[in-house]
Amino acid sequence: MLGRMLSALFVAIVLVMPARAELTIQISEGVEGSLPIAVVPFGFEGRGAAPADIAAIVAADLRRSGRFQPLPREDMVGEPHEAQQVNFQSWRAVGTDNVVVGKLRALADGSYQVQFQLLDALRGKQLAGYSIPSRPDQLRQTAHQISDIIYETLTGQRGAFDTFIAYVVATGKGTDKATHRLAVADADGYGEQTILESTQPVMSPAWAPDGKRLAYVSFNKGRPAVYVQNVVTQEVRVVAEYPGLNNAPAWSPDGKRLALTLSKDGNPEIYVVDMATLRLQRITRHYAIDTEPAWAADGRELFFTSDRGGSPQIYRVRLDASGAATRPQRLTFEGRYNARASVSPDGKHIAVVHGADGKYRIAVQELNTGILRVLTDARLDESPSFAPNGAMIIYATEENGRGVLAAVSIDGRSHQRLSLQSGDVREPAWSPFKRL
Amino acid sequence: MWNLIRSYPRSVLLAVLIHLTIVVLLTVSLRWPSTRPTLSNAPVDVVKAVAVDEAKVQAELDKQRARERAREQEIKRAQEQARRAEAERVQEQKRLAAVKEQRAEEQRKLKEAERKRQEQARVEKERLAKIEAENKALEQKRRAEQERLAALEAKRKAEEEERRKAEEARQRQEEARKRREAEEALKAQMAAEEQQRLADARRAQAMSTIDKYRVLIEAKVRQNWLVPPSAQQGMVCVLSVRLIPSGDVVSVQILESSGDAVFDRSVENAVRKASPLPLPPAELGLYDEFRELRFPFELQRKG
Amino acid sequence: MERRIQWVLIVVFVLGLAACAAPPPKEDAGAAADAGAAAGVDQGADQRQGADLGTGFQGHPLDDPASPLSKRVFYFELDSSQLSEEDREIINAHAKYLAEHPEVNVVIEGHADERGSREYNMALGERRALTVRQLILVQGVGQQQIQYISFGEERPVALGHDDSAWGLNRRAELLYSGY
Repeated sequence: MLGRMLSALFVAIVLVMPARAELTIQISEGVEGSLPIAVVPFGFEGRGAAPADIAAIVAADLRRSGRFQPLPREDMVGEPHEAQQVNFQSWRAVGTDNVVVGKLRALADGSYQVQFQLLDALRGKQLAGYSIPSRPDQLRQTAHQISDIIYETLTGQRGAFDTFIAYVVATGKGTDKATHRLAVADADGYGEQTILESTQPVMSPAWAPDGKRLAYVSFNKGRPAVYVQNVVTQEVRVVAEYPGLNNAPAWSPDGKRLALTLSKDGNPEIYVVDMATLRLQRITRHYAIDTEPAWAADGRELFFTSDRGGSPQIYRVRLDASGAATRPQRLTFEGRYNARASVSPDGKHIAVVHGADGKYRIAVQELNTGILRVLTDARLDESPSFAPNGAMIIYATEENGRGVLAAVSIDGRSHQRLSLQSGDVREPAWSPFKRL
Repeated sequence: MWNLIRSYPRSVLLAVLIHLTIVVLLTVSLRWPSTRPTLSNAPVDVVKAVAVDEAKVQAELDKQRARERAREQEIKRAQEQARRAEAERVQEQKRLAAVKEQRAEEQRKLKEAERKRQEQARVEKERLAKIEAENKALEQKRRAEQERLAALEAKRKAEEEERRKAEEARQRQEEARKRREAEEALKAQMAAEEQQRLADARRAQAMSTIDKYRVLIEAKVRQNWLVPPSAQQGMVCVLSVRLIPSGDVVSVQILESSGDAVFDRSVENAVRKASPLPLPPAELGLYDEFRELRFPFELQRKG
Repeated sequence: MERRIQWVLIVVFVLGLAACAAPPPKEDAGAAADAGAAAGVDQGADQRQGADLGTGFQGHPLDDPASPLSKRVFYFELDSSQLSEEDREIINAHAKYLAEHPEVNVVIEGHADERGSREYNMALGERRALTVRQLILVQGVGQQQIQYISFGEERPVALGHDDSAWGLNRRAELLYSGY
């Protein structure tokens, strides 16, 4: 009898004990948004006021990329300048994932040492830290380099903040004091330098792959001609001034050839100029308009605009070893107007001016699939140019009757306006990565 | 012209005549009918031909002979047919005779069979009679046996009865004990079942509580997950997360990487930012369920 | 006598052939008449000029506001380089003037509105200028008298961003010099 009671109890106990299993929680979607980051104003060790607000430049860069959401200064929970001074908990509390702290030190010889640390607030550790020597006139550039490091550490993609943009500014349009200016500035619009100023129109700036020369079209001599100018030495060279159009220069990826549009043989056709000999090779032979050439990343194909099909569309030819071209193949079929192809640095996409329903917008077509995505939503967008990291496209648009520059991320999610100064700004061209 | 005619009358006349002749000839020749040969259609009567052909005579003779032969053959055929008919009639008669024979045979056989059956029946009856007699004798013997057995049985029963009464007395005692024991066992069992029910109820509540908090945790992590723009649909990263009873995350381990460092980091960040995770109140004692959590992050929809 | 007959026969024969082979006489006469009429009209036009203004314009025909030569801007539809019938006639008048005055030069400017891409608009402007140039050359004007240039969308006359401004900018212009 005792045995039976005991066995009964034992059974009861076993039934009551709970089973152990690891709980699995499935997450299948998140939220879209930019990474919250706090760029704390840098400390300054030196006399007087800091010569530059490095943190502000960095925060503006990161915001402009669309990938980051810098914390406004009034919401910051402290002003640390070094990792040890950072209380990660309080930064986490304001929703920041990453904190950037830094210091600007004036040296005896008049130069500066810029030191910064990128910290992970969630894990409480340092992700990157550098100390960069800098001349007084290089401080903005150093700030852009810091932005590049932060961008690449957190997104895995190379940053394009330490780059240039070239563009044309037209003032006094319609008056007799009209001027046209070809200018180069930092990618954030600061530090503008005039390359060329003229009363006659200037068009189509194009960066050579070495980042040191600009090709452009100028009406200086009363008619359009293609020039190449070294932005450092200011040396100028005429490349094409044939009768008719000399237009739309585009550098080959190896920098040895220039594709352009000439109408000397009766109507606008694509030619390739050898930069060493200035010998011409004709690429298209058709009575329609063929213009706006752009090189594929491997330098063996050319994209161009042609209205041989009735309205402007993008076509592509392959160049063989001798430089001769195959029959053009049409690439764009959506919309009644597709022109001014610009090739992404990885060669997988082209950005075009896409006209449909009376609106002209920037669209990106994936070359593999032919799928076209419209990225902008105004009505007079033109001249798309890829950043050298392929993450953004800068283009010209119209705002309040004025020409301004704007940038859009490649996925179309983030838009920025870059209104630089007075006058009409147009035809932006993003420089390649700087070569040291 | 008239001088001409006067000076050369003969020549002129000749000329004119010749001309006229030529003209006439030409015109007349044109009108003559063509001379095409035509076939005559007059029929020829063969029967009235007088000439007698030898070949024809021979042919007539041949025909007659052929007719004779044909007649002879006819006669032969007729004779043949008559013979055949006769033969058939004879055969028929034979058949009929044979059939009669068979029937006679069959009847004889039937009668034989009958006789045999009747014989057998008689034999059977005799056998049965014998068996009956035997059975009766056996029966009597059995009855006698049974009576003897019955007597024995009665004795045994009497003995049995005594034993049974003794047994019953013992059994009653036994049963009393068993009843007591059974009652106690039942009580114990009921108590055990009660406990089981209570445990189940607690467990069910625990499960629903677990589910409820699972949903809360999922929501909080989801809200804190900033999906990077480079993320592709279908990317999977699995985390193993350890919590302390307050819900704070103390360790995060990547069990399965998505292959994209940026995606992996975003997923880790999501869990860390969601810390402390919502946990059920300590009194419920469910902390063990939540001590170690497994988070499979799979991007199914891109917004 | 035979000779006479012969001659008669010959005459008859020849008349017969002539009847078959003679070309229709009407056309020749008509063409000659037309040429004469055209000449008459042109002269009439010149005379009419003077006649309409009553007193007659006392200046250079290129400066006469009533002359078709005073219209020097021609407009186009979007992405098109086709000229209207009326514009063609006026350009013909210009061509005639240039043919008669080989010392006068003209520059044809082609323009486009701001929509679409800049470089393509340069080519479009050129196409418009060339269309006008072709029309003038066909009338027998010397190539050395005509220059052409495209400004694409770089030299608009109307600075607005609407259909009316765009319509005014899609144009080809004739700019005379040397008179």
